[in-house]
Amino acid sequence: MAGPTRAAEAVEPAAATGRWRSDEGLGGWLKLDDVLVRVVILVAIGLVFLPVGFLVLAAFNVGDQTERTAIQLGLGNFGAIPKYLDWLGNSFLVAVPATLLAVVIGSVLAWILYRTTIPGMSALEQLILLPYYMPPIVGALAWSLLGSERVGILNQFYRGITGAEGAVFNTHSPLGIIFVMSIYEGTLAFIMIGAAMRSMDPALEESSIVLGAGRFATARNITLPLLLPAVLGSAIFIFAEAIASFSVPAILGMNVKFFVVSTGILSMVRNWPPDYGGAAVLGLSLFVFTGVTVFFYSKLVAGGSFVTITGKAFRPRLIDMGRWTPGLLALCLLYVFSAVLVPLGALIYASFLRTLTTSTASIVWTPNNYLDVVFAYQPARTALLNSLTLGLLTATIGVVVMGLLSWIIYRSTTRGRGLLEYVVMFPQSIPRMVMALGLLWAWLAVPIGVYGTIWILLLAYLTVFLPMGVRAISGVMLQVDKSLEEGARMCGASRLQSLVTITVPLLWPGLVSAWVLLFIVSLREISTSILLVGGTNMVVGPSIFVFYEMGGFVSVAALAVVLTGVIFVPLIAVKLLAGKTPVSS
Amino acid sequence: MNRRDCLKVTVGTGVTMLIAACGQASPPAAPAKPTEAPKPAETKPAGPTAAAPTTAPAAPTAKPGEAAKPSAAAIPAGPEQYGPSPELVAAAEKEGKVVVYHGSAADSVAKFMQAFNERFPRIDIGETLVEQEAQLMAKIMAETQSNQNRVDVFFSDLDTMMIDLQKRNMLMQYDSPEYKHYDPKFLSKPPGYFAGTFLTLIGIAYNTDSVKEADAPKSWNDLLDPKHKGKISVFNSSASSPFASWYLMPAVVGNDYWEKLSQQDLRTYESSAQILDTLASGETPITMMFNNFRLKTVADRGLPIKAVWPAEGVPTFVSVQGILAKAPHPNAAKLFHDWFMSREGMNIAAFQIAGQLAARPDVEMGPTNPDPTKLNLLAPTDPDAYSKAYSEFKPAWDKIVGMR
Repeated sequence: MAGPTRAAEAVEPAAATGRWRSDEGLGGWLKLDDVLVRVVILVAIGLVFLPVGFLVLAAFNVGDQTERTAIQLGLGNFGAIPKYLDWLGNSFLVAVPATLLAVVIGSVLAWILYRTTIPGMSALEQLILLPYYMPPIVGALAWSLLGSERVGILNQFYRGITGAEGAVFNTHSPLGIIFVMSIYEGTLAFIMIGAAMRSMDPALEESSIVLGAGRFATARNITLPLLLPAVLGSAIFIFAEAIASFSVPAILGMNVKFFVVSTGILSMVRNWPPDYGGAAVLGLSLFVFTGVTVFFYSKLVAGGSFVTITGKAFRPRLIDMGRWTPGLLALCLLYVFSAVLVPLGALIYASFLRTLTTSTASIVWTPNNYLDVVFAYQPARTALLNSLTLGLLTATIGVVVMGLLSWIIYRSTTRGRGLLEYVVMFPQSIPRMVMALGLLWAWLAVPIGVYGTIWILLLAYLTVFLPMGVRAISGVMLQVDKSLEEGARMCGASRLQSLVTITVPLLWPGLVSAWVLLFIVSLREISTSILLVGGTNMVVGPSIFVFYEMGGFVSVAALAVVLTGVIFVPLIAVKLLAGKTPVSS
Repeated sequence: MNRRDCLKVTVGTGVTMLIAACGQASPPAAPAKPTEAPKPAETKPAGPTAAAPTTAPAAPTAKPGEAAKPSAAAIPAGPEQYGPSPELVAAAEKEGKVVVYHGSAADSVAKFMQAFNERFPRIDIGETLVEQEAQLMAKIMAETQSNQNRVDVFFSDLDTMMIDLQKRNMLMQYDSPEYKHYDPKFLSKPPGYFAGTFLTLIGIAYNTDSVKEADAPKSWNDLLDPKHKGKISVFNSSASSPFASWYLMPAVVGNDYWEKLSQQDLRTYESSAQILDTLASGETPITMMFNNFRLKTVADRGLPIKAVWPAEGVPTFVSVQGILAKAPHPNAAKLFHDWFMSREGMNIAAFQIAGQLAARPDVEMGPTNPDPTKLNLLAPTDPDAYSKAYSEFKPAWDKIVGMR
């Protein structure tokens, strides 16, 4: 949409897309904003590329892997790629179906909740978001308990009820991994697609219905194409997470020797002597695939207008699904059961056992696991406090930094913005664990004492969550029609005033949901931190995993339940205090 | 959402963090006594040593403040009081904490660290880290190379890594007063760098509910039976103890044994606790890497597990402990090391808590352990060759378990 011509300034074609010209200044500060922008760009480049640089260095390092200073360059590590092809293949084998399934689950749930007259929408919304608060390792542990071939609880039920010998399914398998990943990534798809759905102008759908198209035809021909960027964006995000996913393949795949890139890297790095070079090569080879995907997505959103938040007021219109409604409700509840209630229930059951067993006759109940974990296991408390602190820091600093970056990329004419967009989206193409590997090397070489502290984790989180945060904020930013800002300018407001009184309030729901998103992801993550934690900076995800490896399953179940419960408390508090759900405005 | 709501959010999260921080600030742990009271006095012969006749335990030199001890055979069961020099205790308490990196059984480690803390309450043990040795080695190397030394004491299941540290001059040379109670073959060469703590036996075990007695494996060769395919658990190559089995067994079962066993779809796990779990539940009902100390857990929890010590030969390994040269709390480290290696410490850690066979001859072997003198124990004869073979272990083992 073309803006009104202004006599006082030359109108560039760029102004037609509402871009802020960096040489105009913010509220008159001469060129300071220009410097600010350049500094931000440099910091972003440093944050992202310093670890990547060290990673590349590690890939070419064929010297003694235990001596960080003994670097010899060579191609030796690359020769090992054929050995790792099956790991790469396995990663795709689980990531692609899991992504498709997750997007389907998320879209269906979002459509049911936000576009139909289903009862109890806000309650359902809260329930469907619950899986996202659970660290994925908790879900993986629970499904290991539920679906192990011989002792899985569901299989035991099956045998008890039907008297058959075998198992109905085995979660310790590629299919099991796909299933569990898609359930938990489905919430992410729901959040992203749901946000877009709620922001849509229903007038377009209303016209379609008024003109005679049926409910499903409208959904297919109007809703879906308008949602395409959100659907594709979520698919790409989920794919990037799925292909680098660690918890689920670690718990469900390692003991049956089904390795993917992330668990392969862990096993290479944990050996003595560690194979950092091989790990770096493996990680970088994954980058080739995901980098291409990201490239195509960026081409996709560069063109076209997806403006759906306009200056006109609207009321969302819901479609009455009539006799389908109970079925849809049941579908939502099925999801909530499979993702949260049944897994947590199983873990709570296991946590009160003295030991896992198949024969119900020999069950011995004991509260000792909780006593051991809460009183004897000091690292658990440290982990919790660290995670909460990091969550706050990451979310707050992240929203500010990423908001600024989004604004520079999508709303300015600074020359570096194309490069900045590339830099900011770059971490998405690298598995988080590999990025953490690079960070480890980078910060050991730089003489700032961040190794083993929460500061290195903060840096890591800010780096790996850059794409997610920027995309969340810019997604909302792109939907805000610049005519609203220009309206303010026409009335005489300066750029700064327009920013503060029009843009930021319009973006506020998006900023809040980005804050909550960052808070949640930093609490539940594991693959970034597992390589960077030591004695004092332990966080929740790795502490559960380490305990799983070194303790007994019933103790881990108790630890997982305790930590999940204590994570739920601040998250639910945040939501209650915020008054509304993060996805609604 | 307006400013007021923002304020509410911040206050709410701040309060939650405060509550969590209060939990953090409370005393490190409620005292958790070891689950066993000291065993009543038994007149069993003093403890085991590997493949060697029981050496006569040296009579402990009387330390200030202790009564003179009777000869070994008449030592009643029960911990002899560990008597460190007051200077050492004062210096250690001044340092205020000890950081131990430990390579096995997290449940036992938590308990004996607790016991140490009860003995010396002013020395904090909160930074104890239990992970697989390889990860601990990586951390130790990273800390040393970035000059952020954090760890004081390192406990490892295998001596290969400790020897590696010794070669890199990263271990402290410390002649602990306790070393004189140990057979020299358990000490480092030259002595003073590290010492053997526990002797572990590796055998077969199976779940008696899931595996019928007639079908149960009684020897290493029985494991090659196809009916056990997919049912046998082993450690993965990140753990160090499978190296002992891999290296020592071909001498008694033949060089093609591992190749034949690799047809059995072995299931891999990270630790003895995991193997015990999966054994007890019946998910993987047989293991060929059962460690003797787990017999204590079996007894404590009443698990349906039976152990078999094959007549062909029982591989063994010795766990070791040493102090790092750049330990940030050297006196606390010495105090902990001495306590651990003392009769009192070993009695608590090995006998009462972990069910281990102590390398120290004057510590009882516990009712759950088999009598090692009656077994055909396998141990490395050439320590140098043993250390060198470790570098071939991982790729070989990965292939055997089917990881590649």
